[in-house]
Formats: sequence, C-alpha cells, structure tokens
Amino acid sequence: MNRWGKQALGIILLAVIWQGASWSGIWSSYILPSPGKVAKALWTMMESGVLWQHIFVSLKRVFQGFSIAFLLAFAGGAAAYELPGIEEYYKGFLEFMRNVPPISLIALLILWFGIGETSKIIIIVLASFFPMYLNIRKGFVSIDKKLLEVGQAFGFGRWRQFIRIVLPGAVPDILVGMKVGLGYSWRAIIGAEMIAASKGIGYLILDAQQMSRSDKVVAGILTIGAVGIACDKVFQVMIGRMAVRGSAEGASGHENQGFV
Amino acid sequence: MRIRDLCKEYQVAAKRIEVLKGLNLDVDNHGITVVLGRSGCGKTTLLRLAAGLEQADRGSVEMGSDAKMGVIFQEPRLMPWLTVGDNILFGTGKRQGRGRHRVLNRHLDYLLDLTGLKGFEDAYPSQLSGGMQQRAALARALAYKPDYLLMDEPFAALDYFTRSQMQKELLKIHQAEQKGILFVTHSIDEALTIGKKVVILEDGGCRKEYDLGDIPYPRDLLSEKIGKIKKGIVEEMEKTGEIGMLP
Ligand SMILES: Nc1ncnc2c1ncn2[C@@H]1O[C@H](COP(=O)(O)OP(=O)(O)O)[C@@H](O)[C@H]1O
Ligand SMILES: [Mg+2]
Repeated sequence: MNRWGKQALGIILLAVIWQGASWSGIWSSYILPSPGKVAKALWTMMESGVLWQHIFVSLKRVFQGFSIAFLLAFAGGAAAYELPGIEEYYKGFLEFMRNVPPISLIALLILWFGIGETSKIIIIVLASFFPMYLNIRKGFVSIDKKLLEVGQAFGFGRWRQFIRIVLPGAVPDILVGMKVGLGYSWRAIIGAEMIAASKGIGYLILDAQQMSRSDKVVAGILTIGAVGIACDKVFQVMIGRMAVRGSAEGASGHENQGFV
Repeated sequence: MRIRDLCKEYQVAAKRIEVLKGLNLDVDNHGITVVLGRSGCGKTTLLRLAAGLEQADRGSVEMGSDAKMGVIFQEPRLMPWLTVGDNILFGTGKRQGRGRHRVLNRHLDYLLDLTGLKGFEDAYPSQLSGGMQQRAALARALAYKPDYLLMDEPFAALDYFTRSQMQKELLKIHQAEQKGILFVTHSIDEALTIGKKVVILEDGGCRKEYDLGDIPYPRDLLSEKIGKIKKGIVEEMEKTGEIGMLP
C-alpha cells in the first residue's frame, strides 16, 4: 500500500471507532456527536454558504496578520545581520514576549485597540512572528563567510553583498520560517476570534459552543484542520515553483517556537 | 605587481604570530609566479593581503591604479543557488537567463569552451565534480576580466590525475589569456610544472627565487634540468624547515 493509502486507512479507522463509540450509547449525542450528525451540520453550512463566508473571513485575517508578521520578522532578521550590535537591545524583550501566550494579552489588546479587526490581527501577528523571526534570522546570520569573501573580492558594496549573497543564501530558511509561521497564524484564529467576532471559523466554533451545538463545534474543528492542510499544500506548491534548487534541500528550521 | 616589505601578524590566544615579516615579491604581469612553501608558512595570508581581503600591518602591494584581481580560493566557493552559467557571470553583474530568456553572451560561451564546461551551463554546482567546480571558479574569475589571477592552492583537494589535468588546462588558459598569475602551493612538482618563476616562502619572507623562464611548457619533470632545480629546492626547504617554523 502506498503512502496515501496508509494515511487514508488511518483516518477511516478513526472514523469507524468514532461511529462505533457513538452507537454504543455510552456517551450522549451531546458529548459525542455521531459522524453522521457532524457531516449533516457541515453539509447544511456548506449548502447555505455560511461555511465559505466564515472561511473567507478567517483566511483574510490570517493573511493580514501573517503578512505583517512576515515583514516584521524579515526586517528584524535583516537588522540582526546588518547591525549585529543593535540586536542586544531588543533581544531580552523578544525573549520575554516569546514566552507570553498571545491569548493572555486579549484583555489588554481590547483595552488599547478596541474589539475591531486590529486586536484580532495583532493576536495573529504575535502568534506567527517568533517562529518566522527565529528562522529568518538564522538564515541571515549563518550565511557562509567564505561566500561573502567572493563578493568582497569582486568589490561588491554592502547592498550588493546583501542582495546577491546574503538574501539568496537565506532563502531556504526564510521559506521554512514562512511555512511554520503560516501554520501558527492559522492556528491562532480561535484566539483572535475570541474577541467579539461575528464571522470566521473561530467565531463559528465559539458560537456553536454557546448554543450547545457540539456537532457544529466538531464540524468547525474539522474545517480548521482541513483549511490548515490546504494552506500548507498551496504554500508548498508555490515554493516548488520558485525553483531554488541546490540550496532548498537540507533546509531545516525550528518547527516548535512561539505559542498560542 | 610589486609587493614591498609586507608584514602581517595574528593574535592567537594572547600569543603573537608573525606570519609575514617584510616580504618582497615582484609578480610578472604576464607569467605565472609560484610561491612555494610548507603548510602554515603564510601563503594564504599573502594572497589575501594581495586580494585586499585583509589589511597589512605594514608594507604595500603596488599595482596599476585600477588593476582588477580575480581570486580563486582553495575551495570553489560557488553560489549553490546559481547555475554554472550564472556563477561564472557572478562578478560581472550580468545574468545568463533561462530558456527563451537566454541572453547571448559571447564571453560566457568562450569561457565555457575554454574551461571545458560547455553543456553544463544550466547545471547546479552540487551536480558537478570537484574538478569541474574548480574550473567554474576559474571561469568566474576570468569573466571578471582581471589583470591578475590570484590562486590559492586551487588544485590541492583534487586527486592526482585531475590535478595534473587541471595544471595542463591552466597552462592552456594562460596561453590564451596572458594574465599575470600569482599561484601559491605546497607542491614542488606543481610549482615546477607551471611556474615561470618559483619563489620559496619561508620564515615570513621570500627566501629563494628560481627562474624557469627558459624552460618551455609542457615540461617534463623527469628531465635533467628540472631534476637539478628540484633537488636544489628540496635541499633549501629541508634546511630552512627545521628552524623558524611556525607552531
Ligand atoms: N585569521 C587568522 N587568525 C589567526 N591566525 C591566523 C589567521 N590566518 C592565518 N593564521 C595563522 O597564520 C599562519 C599562516 O597561515 P596561512 O597563511 O593560512 O598558511 P598557509 O596558507 O601557507 O598554509 C598559520 O600559523 C595560521 O595559524
Ligand atoms: Mg593556505
């Protein structure tokens, strides 16, 4: 059996256990909604179009937050390379912030930025900044000095050194950072939409919870997982297109940095 | 290129190491000048100073006001994300382009031909053998149209046969391009194969000089004339090798 077959079998097995458990009647259908009930909830929301709206709104927030976090992480990483002295000043603060779960800041964010989009996007930025920053910084700082000397021998100035050696050399780490950051920003959507949202996948789940609709909660969770995988795959395809052969392989990064 | 009274010292763990102590050397602007010396005698240091990659403590490297240097390091140092063609053009600011966007570049074609890399312009460095990578590095230096080539044991990491092949090719390229070459090596045979002038670097300075200008290429290292020179060089290096060696 191939890779896909095995993965599918694992999922089918889980679904069978789930179905069996709900048939056994040990748990009420509120505590453990049956697969059929969840599928029906999913189907209803798809048919009426609400599900797509929720996904769209959440994706938009994630994309905004992710973009801002990427720009900050890129700037921070580049600064760590170009101005190594200045990094010491913000290192301590970043280390501190890295250990503070963004959700714990919700109260303050609402106080300072209100309950609009700003607060939600800041949550996503905070959740995805650190894994991106650490990877991008690593890419810039660990650039091979021997390659830099090649540029120096050709009389390259600072800017050309950066554009022609440092940046392309850091691309594999930048991509790893973006991939990991994308995952973190998507997973932060629940936290972000805890703040007075009226649309979005996170809102869907929290609202279903209020309404005691556990089937919709499970449907929302399945959607989050599926969209997360889809985003990752789309990103993977985009990386493949960019054809960074020779250096893209062997790129590894910190997969587990930052918290939600 | 005239090198005068060149001094360079390094500080290693509170210990001062004088690597070059007032080195003088003239580098012919058409021939191959070989600096021969044991490992750790300061060959790389000399080359890095000449290339401007490091600052001398004292002394000077004089050449034409806008003379350009092409540096070939001991390792190929190709950019792994660029194709061979783009690596060769790296110092020129030009691009090779892909597929339909390929830019016609006569000089690149000429260099690919000269270094035997024709057909590999779209390959990536990781797909080449060590010898081919070093040839690409040589082509990259030549594409820059330098007045001098500075070569730091470029063939030391290659196996015997590839190395002698590369020496032959270097001589061929030298015939075609007529650039001044400063070549450093620890191999006496390599020095005798390619050097127009062979200089022994020992104890921080150029201790002895051999003029091989009257022996044409390609050379037979087993000939009587070269055998005699080799004997002299070996004796010289063994004599000075015992004293004044760096740790
Ligand atoms: N950047 C450096 N810092 C400290 N010591 C160095 C440095 N570069 C070279 N040296 C020392 O200078 C000596 C000569 O080195 P090098 O020029 O590399 O020798 P070679 O190329 O002839 O083998 C060695 O003893 C080496 O340890
Ligand atoms: Mg050396």
